[in-house]
Amino acid sequence: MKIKNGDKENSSASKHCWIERLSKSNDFVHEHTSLRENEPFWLSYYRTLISSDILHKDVLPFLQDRLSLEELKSKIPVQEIILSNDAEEIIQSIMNGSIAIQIHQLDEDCLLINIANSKFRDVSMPMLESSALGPQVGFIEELDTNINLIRKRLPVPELLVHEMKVGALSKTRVAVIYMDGIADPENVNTVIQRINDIQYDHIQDSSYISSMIEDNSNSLFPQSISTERTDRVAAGLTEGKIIIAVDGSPNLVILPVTLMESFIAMEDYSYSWIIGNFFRLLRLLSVFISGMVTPMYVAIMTYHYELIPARLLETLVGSRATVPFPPFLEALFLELMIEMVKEAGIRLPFKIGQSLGVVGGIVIGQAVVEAGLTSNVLLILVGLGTLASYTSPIYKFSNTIRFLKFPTIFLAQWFGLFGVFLTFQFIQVHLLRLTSLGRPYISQYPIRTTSFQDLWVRLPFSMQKENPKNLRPQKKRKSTGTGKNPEPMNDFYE
Amino acid sequence: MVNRLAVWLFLILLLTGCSFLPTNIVNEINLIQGVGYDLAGKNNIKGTVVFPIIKKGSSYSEVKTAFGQSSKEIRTKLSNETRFRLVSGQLRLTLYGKTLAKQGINDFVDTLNRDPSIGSLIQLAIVDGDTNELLKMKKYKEENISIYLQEMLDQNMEYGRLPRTDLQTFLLQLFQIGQDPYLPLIKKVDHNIQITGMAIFNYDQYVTSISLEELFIFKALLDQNRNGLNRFILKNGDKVVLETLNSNTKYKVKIVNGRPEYIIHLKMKTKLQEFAPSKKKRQAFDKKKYQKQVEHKLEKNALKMINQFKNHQVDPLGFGAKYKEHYRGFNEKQWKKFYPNVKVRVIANVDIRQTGIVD
Repeated sequence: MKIKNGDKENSSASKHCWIERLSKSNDFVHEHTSLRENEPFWLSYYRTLISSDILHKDVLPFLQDRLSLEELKSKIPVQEIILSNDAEEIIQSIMNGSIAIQIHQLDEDCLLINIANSKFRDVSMPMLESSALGPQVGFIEELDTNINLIRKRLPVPELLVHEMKVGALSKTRVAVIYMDGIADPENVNTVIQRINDIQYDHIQDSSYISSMIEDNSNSLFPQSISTERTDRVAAGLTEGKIIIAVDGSPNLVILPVTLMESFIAMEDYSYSWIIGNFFRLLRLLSVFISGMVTPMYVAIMTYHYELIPARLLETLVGSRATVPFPPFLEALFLELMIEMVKEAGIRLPFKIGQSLGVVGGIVIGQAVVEAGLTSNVLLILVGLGTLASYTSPIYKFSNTIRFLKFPTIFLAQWFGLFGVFLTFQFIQVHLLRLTSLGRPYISQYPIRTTSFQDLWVRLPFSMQKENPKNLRPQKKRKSTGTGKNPEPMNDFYE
Repeated sequence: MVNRLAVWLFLILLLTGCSFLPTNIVNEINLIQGVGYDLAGKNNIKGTVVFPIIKKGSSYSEVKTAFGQSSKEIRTKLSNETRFRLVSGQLRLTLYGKTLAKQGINDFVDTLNRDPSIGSLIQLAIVDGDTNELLKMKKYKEENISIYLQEMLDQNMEYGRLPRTDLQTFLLQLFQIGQDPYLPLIKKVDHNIQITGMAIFNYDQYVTSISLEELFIFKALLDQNRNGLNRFILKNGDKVVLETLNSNTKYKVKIVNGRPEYIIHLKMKTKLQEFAPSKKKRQAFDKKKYQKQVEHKLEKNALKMINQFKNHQVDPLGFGAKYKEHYRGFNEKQWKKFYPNVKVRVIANVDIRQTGIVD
């Protein structure tokens, strides 16, 4: 904020002090092309921001002649050229990779030529949301490429992009993307207004934006989906969802979402609908397993020995016979260990990380069991629970599930199965109160028929007729019903 | 204020790391799986408990005995000599000595019924002899005798001649007006444990027993015959072994002047398993003839058994309950007077469906 105020004072005091301000940095270049100082031209740019290739090939040759700025503007073969005398604008575009050309050093008028060096990594496979079938294109850190990827999937003029700049320091470009005529304008306005209201100086990632505009930022559950899959984003847009893309972040944010969408993988649509449903319901089941299995072990082994089947008794008691800790500490110890292995696996450099996966954790676990510190039944359960938590296609959601295990284990220790039930109820009440962009997070209740077309289960495409109602889309049906698809253009042989 | 309270509560819980409730950590309790009660002198009970000592890879049953007046008193005495607390949530089997059963077992069943940690599917049985001796058998030291016996009884109820009994059915029959309970009778024979019949009670007191041979018809009358195998020796000495495929028993109650009359329809679909004619001569199986004879035999046996029950004033088949269902003016005292002379007719209908591939 301080800097911003300083800006305004400076610009009002002198139109030229931008050169002074910028030249404090060593990578700022301020030079002139001829031998004598009062002759044109003066160039100012950040060496680190521009592509010197374009500078030498496309810009410098034209500066040999004494042309006016207007003439230069029409001659230089670069797309983005502006003529400006506003110091603020000049600073801004130099910061974005333009060079400023002045005829004399003290001229107010500048020609701003954008020759920014935009070297980003190539479009590659999605790293977190990989899938066996389906498109293998993931978003990258550059906003324009990302929008390009979306536009390729939805080449219609109804796809609108509303761009904003957020953050006094980072000046991050944030784009709100939606389908005009499908997305509820109320949702669009809410998103734009909330992004405008952000008072934070630097935005490093789309997660900053999503957690700042969330309805309840204290909730453990992600109220938006962060995705790097292009197909998920395009599918969301056609249903009337709103996408927030942030420059510098490969993850796009989808709003509003419901809880069930965390179980939907785009791969479901690649299989036959029956197989797709099987996997979708399997994910739902595995979240329950993941969250419940260790707390249930603690509860049953600590309080409810009656519930153990007679034939299982010997296995369970036998495995705990030499364990010196109560089941609670045993479970906590093993769960924390698995979490540590997972955390270290992410933080470790790639090459070391490979050798230490969850598998490494199981090996350590096996050693722990052999040492008699935990029971092997628990090791199996913890392994199963951890494995199950990874089935959710949404990474943030699977983290939530793994975290929720810990309070449940504590309550299981204090109150037994009643405690497990209590956490379950608590989560349920919390989820019922939760909203995403003002829309209920568990919009599955009251039950709507659209929930059974493509949410809980996925019906064959011919039976998916309506867009989900909870988003209040302006377009109610999935098919516009024009009847005929456009003929493919095939003029090669003509 | 509320928030601060919640934080304190949370911290207290976190720091104590323990619970408000008494814990039952599985390897720090002794899980009673079987108990047995015997009469030992006047008003003195000998209680026996069996619990497994489970070690990694190996386990054996520990049997402890104590004397006392009530089951919980025995439990308290037994705790004096066990490493961990004795708990009864894993109870699978309770045995009562025959002499004790003759005095009534209500007091002992009552505690099973009251304890919420005890399931209602546990097996109850009467031991012809000493339960302590039976539970202490060396042969079953390694094998967990409680589970062994429970599964032996379960198996025989499912596929054999025993009708289904457990704590649940026993309590139902005990508390239902117009029915008396029955429990399996087991006995230690040499180095084995055998099922020898069914103990029939009058309220909670052992009165009489029915033998293994009679159990087929008993189970049929209770409408529980699923897959019993029974041998009939007919008048002329022919042996017929029939396997029940499907049976159905219906009680028809007719009220005549406030007194009940019963007609029992026994319908059986059977399969011929063995046929040995007395003349030792190969002959074709005359289905109609043998159906008639078997029906006659069944009717006779059933009536014989019902008359035996009437003589002992016990009602395991629940005639009284059926009377009560059909007659509003039911009076228990009056029914007790009616019962020895009540009219019962049995109509059997045996259908031999499959005779095998011989004929």
